[in-house]
Amino acid sequence: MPNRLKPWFVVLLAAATLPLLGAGGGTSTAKTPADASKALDPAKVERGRYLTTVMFCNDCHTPFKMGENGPEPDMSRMLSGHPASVKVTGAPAFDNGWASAANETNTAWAGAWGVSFTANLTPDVETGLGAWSEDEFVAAVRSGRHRGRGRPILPPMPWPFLSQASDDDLSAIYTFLRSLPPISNRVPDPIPPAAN
Amino acid sequence: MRFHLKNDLVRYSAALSILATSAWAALPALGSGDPGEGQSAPATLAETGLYSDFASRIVGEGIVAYQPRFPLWTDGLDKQRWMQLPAGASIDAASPELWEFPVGTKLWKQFALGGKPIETRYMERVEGGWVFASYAWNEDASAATLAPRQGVRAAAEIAPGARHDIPGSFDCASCHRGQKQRVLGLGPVQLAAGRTGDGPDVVELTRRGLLRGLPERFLSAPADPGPESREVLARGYLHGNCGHCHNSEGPLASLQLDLRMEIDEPAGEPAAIRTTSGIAASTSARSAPAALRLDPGNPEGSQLLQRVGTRDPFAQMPPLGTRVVDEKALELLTAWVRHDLVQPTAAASETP
Ligand code: HEC
Ligand code: HEC
Ligand code: HEC
Repeated sequence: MPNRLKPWFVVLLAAATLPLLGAGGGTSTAKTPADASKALDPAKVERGRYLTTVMFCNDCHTPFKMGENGPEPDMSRMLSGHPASVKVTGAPAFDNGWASAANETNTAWAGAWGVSFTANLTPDVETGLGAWSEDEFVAAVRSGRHRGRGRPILPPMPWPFLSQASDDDLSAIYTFLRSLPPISNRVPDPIPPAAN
Repeated sequence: MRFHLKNDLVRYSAALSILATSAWAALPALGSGDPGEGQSAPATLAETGLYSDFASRIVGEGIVAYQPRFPLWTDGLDKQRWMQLPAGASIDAASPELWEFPVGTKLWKQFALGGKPIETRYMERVEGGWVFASYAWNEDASAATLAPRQGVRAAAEIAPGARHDIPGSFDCASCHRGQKQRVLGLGPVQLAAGRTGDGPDVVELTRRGLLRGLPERFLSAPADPGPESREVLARGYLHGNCGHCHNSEGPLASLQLDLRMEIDEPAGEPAAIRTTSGIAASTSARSAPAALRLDPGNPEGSQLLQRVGTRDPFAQMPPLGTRVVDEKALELLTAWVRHDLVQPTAAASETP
């Protein structure tokens, strides 16, 4: 394949992460964002960790595994979204007033909207939020649109409630997400509802 | 090349908007980060002063009708646009791509179907920014009132089964806050000297004292402009319909997709070609799966065309503000990619 056809981000990243590699930054598959060398404000990271925890982002964005006491979030895959390895093909049928359901990892959600998969919130550039600026993150949460201006964000992502958080709180959440280890996990596209 | 809207997609998008709208309706107004820098717009269109006589819709004195050279496609609706500057004031164009509008500037864009107005969008320059609002017309077109901040769904049927939604205030922001300049249809490219089409160009605006400071070299029209080339029309379409989100300075800059046209284009490949032609797409969607943004000579393998040619809400471009494919534009862009774009030469692709 001629060089020109290479994804732009590979080239971009090669340049951006060179200084980091010497310091042992980055994992073998995951890609650290270009601004990763900037120090994050520790107080802000802590505030973001607290908010992310009590606003239970992990409940949906961290895949569940079967633990000794039943299902629990697998924190080794913290906030990395629906695992690409867990295949989901379609929604179950609903009746008797049931309207939505989640799969066993609690990351695939079926309802009138079809099936949605929780996003990878780690700063992996290719599969997570690594390429997102803070502006985009805030705009996405406030507008309910992908990257703040793209496709509509599907349920059950509770953006109408999260959008009421203050600028400072959203900034802290963004900063905390930046501090996570990047995990390479390509979340599938949503599945449209079956005809009829 | 065509992508057919399946019934399930129609149902899908219907379900989406119901969910999104009902969630909004329950919410209190947001505080910070709100379009319009917290200032509110008049409650009725009449109060904005567009018409000196509302009943007979006579436009007020000193209000100038204009037309951008590369308009935004809104499902074939008719549009009228007007601008008004405070008496004696003018637009400062010293920075040619970043015109400075005086506080008090008012801009209107009216959408109509079959002569019947549907909505009138409104921007007013206030201290510190712009107020964005839309006014929804009533059935007998006797009054237009401020639309709620979440917009109005299905304000009109524009084609069998396709409806026009009045955008909510966050939707205005999706398009009007994607670059430094908030005003999208009044600028050096959109009103270029000698441009074809109706309404004043930069020369005429300068003559009327409404525009000042635009460097002299942009103020002379080519002696014999002739019809615009297919390449200019294609890039112009991308500028008018996509460049406000896809540029090198706004929140989506990290996509490295720049579809804007500049009045003072640097020599070499224009951005809209440099960032698309033979460049791998960083995303894919079910109805826009092609691996390259644009593949010269091969429209079928060009994701950009697939996105322009679908109304699957998860792949369509632009992502909002339209439910009907712009067939004429798709034809133009397809011909441009098929005939005008050239494969990068072996030499060019060998450089590291
Ligand atoms: C009830 C489950 C649930 C909870 C709780 C939840 N999310 Fe989500 N989130 C989702 C789903 C599902 C998606 C994918 C939606 C889609 O693909 O349209 C998503 C997507 C996202 C996205 C990506 C939006 C985009 O533009 O692509 C972000 C960012 C996000 N969530 C952040 C958060 C944060 C931060 C929290 C905690 C404050 C949180 N989520 C809590 C379910 C949830
Ligand atoms: C899909 C993107 C998009 C959305 C959504 C959108 N606009 Fe625009 N708007 C444009 C573009 C592009 C132009 C310039 C081209 C034209 O007029 O055809 C424009 C032009 C205008 C104008 C004339 C002044 C100017 O900037 O050129 C006004 C006024 C306006 N829009 C107001 C609004 C308001 C208010 C909203 C929300 C209720 C809104 N727009 C939503 C893209 C958008
Ligand atoms: C309101 C903002 C907005 C407008 C207007 C807009 N886009 Fe996009 N576009 C996005 C967002 C956000 C993405 C990235 C997310 C996605 O794939 O949905 C995107 C992605 C794309 C991509 C994929 C880029 C890649 O390589 O991954 C292409 C191609 C594209 N847009 C073309 C267009 C074209 C052509 C137009 C005009 C006809 C347009 N867009 C108008 C917001 C916009």
